Amino acid sequence: MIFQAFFEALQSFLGLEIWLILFIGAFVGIIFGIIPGLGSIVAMAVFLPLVFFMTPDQALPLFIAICATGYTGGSVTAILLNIPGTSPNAATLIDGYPMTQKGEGARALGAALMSSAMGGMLSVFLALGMVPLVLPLIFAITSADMVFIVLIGISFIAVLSKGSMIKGLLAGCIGILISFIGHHVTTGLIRFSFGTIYLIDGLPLIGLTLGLYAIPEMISLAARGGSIAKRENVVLTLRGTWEGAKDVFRHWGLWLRSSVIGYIIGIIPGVGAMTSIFVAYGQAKHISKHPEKFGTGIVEGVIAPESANNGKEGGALLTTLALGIPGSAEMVVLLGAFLMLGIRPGPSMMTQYLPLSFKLIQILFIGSLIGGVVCFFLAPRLARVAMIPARILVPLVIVLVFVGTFSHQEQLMDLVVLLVFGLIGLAMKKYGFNRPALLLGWVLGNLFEKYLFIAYGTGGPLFFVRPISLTLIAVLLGLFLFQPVKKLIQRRSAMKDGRA
Amino acid sequence: MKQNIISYVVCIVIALVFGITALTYDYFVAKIVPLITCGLVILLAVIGILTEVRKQNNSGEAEPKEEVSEDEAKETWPHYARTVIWVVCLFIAVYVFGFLIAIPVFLFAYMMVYKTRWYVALSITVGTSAILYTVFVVLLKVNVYKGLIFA
Repeated sequence: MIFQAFFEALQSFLGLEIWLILFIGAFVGIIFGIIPGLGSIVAMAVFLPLVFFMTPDQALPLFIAICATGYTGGSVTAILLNIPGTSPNAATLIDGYPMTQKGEGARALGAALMSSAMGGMLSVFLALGMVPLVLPLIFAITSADMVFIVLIGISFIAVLSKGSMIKGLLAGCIGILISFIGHHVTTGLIRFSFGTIYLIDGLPLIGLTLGLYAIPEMISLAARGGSIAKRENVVLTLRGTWEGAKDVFRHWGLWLRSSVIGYIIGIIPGVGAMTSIFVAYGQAKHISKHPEKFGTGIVEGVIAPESANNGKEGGALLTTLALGIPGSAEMVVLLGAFLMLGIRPGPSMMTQYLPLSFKLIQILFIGSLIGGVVCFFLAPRLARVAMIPARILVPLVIVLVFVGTFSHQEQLMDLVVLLVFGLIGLAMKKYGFNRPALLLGWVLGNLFEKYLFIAYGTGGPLFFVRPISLTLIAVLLGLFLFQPVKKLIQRRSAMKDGRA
Repeated sequence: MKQNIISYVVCIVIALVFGITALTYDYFVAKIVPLITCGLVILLAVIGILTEVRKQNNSGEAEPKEEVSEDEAKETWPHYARTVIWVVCLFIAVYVFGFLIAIPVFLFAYMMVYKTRWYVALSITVGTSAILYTVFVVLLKVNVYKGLIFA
């Protein structure tokens, strides 16, 4: 039955209509991904009203294609301008932008596009192959386990700390503090709103992310003058992009690990893409033979987060289809589209609608491929962005960021958040405080508190005495002990060599 | 070094504001995690200050000057201030006149002040404004803010 459904789904790709929809979806996803502040969620939300005029065979492929390519487009601005096109591209810029400054923008883009496309495609294979294993795992994970999954994410604040560790940890802790602004999940109390109605729902993701990255980068670029990369430094040929693509194969182990991390985090509802990219980046740095080079512009720092952010989609789609629980923010909109079409995702998607489920998973594969190929051939042209003079690029990006931030909620206060965090981001950049650490703290702080009290309420003080929780605690300890133990072993072997 | 100490003091002030506010909440579960986080921030900032002071004592009065590149030398607050003023002006213009007027005026004015040829500045302004209008107003149906005067 499974094979029959699989091949039935495959047959639907014989028509011309499906390919037209796929290319439109991929194009929309890339464009919305490239524009800072928009991203695939906004693209899907914009197209949601069209669902009423479409059949499930038309609407759902369109949405999946948008979803598959949004992050791919977002990596372009992250690498070339140090501005994450979508929030889950925030880790890509840590090494991607320094590569652009060194004149390796095309190579960084090639690596990002190849790892993103291949991460998305691998997640499809995992989604197809691991259905029988994944479903019991999803049901087995409780709030107690979530506490430690989130803690693993938070622990990477220390890993992200470039330069001063204290400053990195401080930025992360302040991010956690800021995450407490708004409704408290357990009591319903409104915290740290300082009497402002606007802060009741917390700070907006778009305003905060663009404020921390886009505004400081543009102010800094305007102060320096010139352009992001010197003309003679920018490799504009396809060869540069191809070099980056080959880097993914050279670091295939890293790509595989990061994609699998993205996939696993993707299947767990409520953890999100931001966790997956930082966990992937953190493990890459942890395991690397030269962790000190991370943040200075090395290709491994681009491959890890880009593999994870698209790798997450396969897992998130599977959870959405099989359980009706959206595994990511994009999947919430997709769930809305399903309901508008009269289809309720859940176990029936694995029985009654199995061919449709297979079709959607296959579309994720093809969408990732199309997004990667389209961006790949455009990459050398896109790399020219880095040569636009500051006097033209700065006002253009500032205007785009203003409109992008406002369009999200149509609230003028979002622009105030943008300005305030723009200045905070500028001060952080100037004095060496780690901005990704603040963002990670902000994303995970509230989640940690929520799951901690739910777990405590249901399981008491010994809520962590469960097989999955204990395994996660072991992983957490392993992460902290890995580097010291590695250094100790290296020191001992060096001493032995010295004696010999 | 002095700037680093000031940045740590700012962190302590932020933690104190959050900590004192958290103490006013009646529910234990609503204040415990924020209070622990505030404590961590203060502890880390104090360690940071002590490290800086120790560094200062060890190096004596004369602080070794780090070599900075030509680009990094330009990254000073007075240099930043010019663009910050432009960004704040754009916000005020959006607030008063709305997006439809503020954006073209900002784009053209910025490029002209920084010596872009007038026809280049004009074509970029017209092109960008048209694209933004088409994407956000026509296609995305964003209800753009019209400003205090025209609202």
